[in-house]
Amino acid sequence: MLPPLAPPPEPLRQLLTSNEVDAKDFHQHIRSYNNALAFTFVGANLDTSVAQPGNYTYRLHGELYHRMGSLLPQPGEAPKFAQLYINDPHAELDGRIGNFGDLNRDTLQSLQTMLHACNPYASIYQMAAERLQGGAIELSICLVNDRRTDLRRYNAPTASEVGH
Amino acid sequence: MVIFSASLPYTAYAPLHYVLLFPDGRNGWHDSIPLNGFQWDGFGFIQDDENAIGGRRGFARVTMLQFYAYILQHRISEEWILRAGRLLQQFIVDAYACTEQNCLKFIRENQRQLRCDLYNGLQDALNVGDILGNNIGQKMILLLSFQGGERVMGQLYQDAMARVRKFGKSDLFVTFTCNPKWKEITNALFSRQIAKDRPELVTRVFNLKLDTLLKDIKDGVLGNVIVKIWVIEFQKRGLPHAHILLILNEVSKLRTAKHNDSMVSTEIPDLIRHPEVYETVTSCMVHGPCGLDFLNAQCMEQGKCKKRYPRSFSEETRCDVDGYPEYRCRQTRIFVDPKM
Repeated sequence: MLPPLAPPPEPLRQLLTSNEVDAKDFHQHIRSYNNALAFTFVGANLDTSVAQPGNYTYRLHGELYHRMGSLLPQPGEAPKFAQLYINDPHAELDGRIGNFGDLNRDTLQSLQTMLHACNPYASIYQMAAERLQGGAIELSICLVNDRRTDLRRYNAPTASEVGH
Repeated sequence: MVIFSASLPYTAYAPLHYVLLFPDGRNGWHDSIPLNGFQWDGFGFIQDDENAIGGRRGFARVTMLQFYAYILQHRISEEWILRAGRLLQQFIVDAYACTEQNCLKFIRENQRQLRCDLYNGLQDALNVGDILGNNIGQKMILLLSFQGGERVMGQLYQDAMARVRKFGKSDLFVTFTCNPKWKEITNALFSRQIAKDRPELVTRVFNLKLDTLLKDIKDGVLGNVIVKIWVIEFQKRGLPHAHILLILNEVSKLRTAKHNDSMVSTEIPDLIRHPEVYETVTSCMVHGPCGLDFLNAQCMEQGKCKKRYPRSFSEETRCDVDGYPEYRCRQTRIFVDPKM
């Protein structure tokens, strides 16, 4: 049996269910909020020739891929996606707002705090950030699809299981 | 310099990208999730419940498709994932692309086991004239079970044509469109949602209704059906739509105009005698408004309605010159405002 999904932590639950103004705004821009907070980006070779006004079509050539960049941004580039999780929370939020300008700062901040508290991947990046500050020169994060560890139980991975 | 490897296992796809759907970072699909009654012992699956029913061909593993289908069920405790609106739409598209890609990957890596050499000769013969430079590459043969693939579509087409050859041309053409206002859909929506926020719900309701319709047809509401061919298409706004072709047996064939009228009606039904049909026809099946006063209407082309409306009244059904029947449409003096 697959375990049921855990109920969402606050403030996500409230944003998804309530009728408040900020919840409506969140709902309207939910994909931008998700992209602003995601670790990866989805890439695909999109075929725009079939897209017509009114009839939204998503057709891609070749493969759909999920990508993560390097842990730190290339010189001269703004940090994005997972790279943001290495910054301190304030700079992190500024970076997210910089990448997705039209989002509500308070909402995004509360979601970011929530992910820092409950998301194991966010903790790994925090750990990486601490090591970098501690003077680590070469550091990499590997996602290991190791069946022997936790996969039989489908728990959320703990930080040490994912990070090496 | 700090570099991160770019290739991610499937397991991490969903939690790393859809952080708002899986905030706790739980694992996505992987290839060792056992079905109910089985266990994964680190090397293989073992059956720990002797009554356990495996999947197709005795598989003990949850497939990627099953996994995503599981997530998209409505459960009271987990309904929040279905509240995510556009993010849910994106997730479904992404999940489907992953599933299909995984399937194609399997086919690509197992060409030898799938005995594709057998078909390669045939393909070569078919593609003799096919020597354009940009077509050069490794040829992969898709399985006959790959939905939407060239082989399965070709086979279905040949099957349909064989039936028509044997039993003659079709008698009835039935279309069945999903209506986002069906009460089964509207009742299951959460507050502030509209049908397009819940593609899984819309397709599920449509599928149930289509099954019922096909069963009714099989039970003979339209006469004795000997051949039934149908195809489901997805139209604008993602609404599914079925085209059904029926061939009736000798007894039930529509031969006379009167017989035709018992099956097909283009008139506005009587509100008192058939209130439900009246409701459906007036809300879903009235064309327009179009004509010279509404030149911007979708159906207008060069000042004319391309669906040939407004049509003239006709006391009886006739066969038109181009084979289109002109159905009986008597002047009943019932009026409906199409803008309603």
